[in-house]
Amino acid sequence: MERIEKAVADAGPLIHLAQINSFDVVGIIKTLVIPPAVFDEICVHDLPGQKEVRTSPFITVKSLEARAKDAAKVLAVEYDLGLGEAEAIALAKQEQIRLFLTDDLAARFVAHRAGLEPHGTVGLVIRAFRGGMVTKERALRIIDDLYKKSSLFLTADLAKYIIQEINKAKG
Amino acid sequence: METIPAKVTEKLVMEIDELVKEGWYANRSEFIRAAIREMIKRTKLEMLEEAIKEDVRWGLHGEN
Repeated sequence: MERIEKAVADAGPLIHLAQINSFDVVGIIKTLVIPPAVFDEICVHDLPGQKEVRTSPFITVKSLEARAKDAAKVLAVEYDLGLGEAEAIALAKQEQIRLFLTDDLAARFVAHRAGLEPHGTVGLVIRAFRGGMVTKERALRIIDDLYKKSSLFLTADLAKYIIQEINKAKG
Repeated sequence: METIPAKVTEKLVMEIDELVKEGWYANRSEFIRAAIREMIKRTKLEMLEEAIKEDVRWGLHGEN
């Protein structure tokens, strides 16, 4: 199985996958780093994914150094980001991890500007399929569940497009 | 509320005034606010579409 070495995530992808009982897809990443604000967002507020985040062997909660904490505050105010998104971007820069997982468009924009490579839940699922972690059939079911049962915003046309692309792919 | 100055062609102003006269909008400001909201919604959808396509490309072909 072909896995991704490291990534930083905000709460979105973790919550969306937990909502449809597909949190195991996150395991395509060997080490997923999250900041305290993301941990708190999911675990202290008892959101979907809290049990998985607490017990997952591949998730590491890493604190921000003083400079990164300040950077996160500036990002949150300047770009109107949630603290989780802002801390995750600042942490990715601190740890020099380029891959950043988010489903928030504003966070994605800011991450691009910060020189990171942002991708969302859909990308992660397809990556898990390409890496041999999930079959094509399961990937298709997950996308369908994300559209119908999770809080991830997808239009019907986009869901159809994603499913078409997965169907065209080898595997 | 904030006032944003913008130059608009006479033709567009006439079309807005026609729609206001026909009762579609209460006044010019309401029309412009509705138009702005609609453009923001459309742009966000385009951004989402672009993000998803980027994710599909990365998922299927990207490095990392």
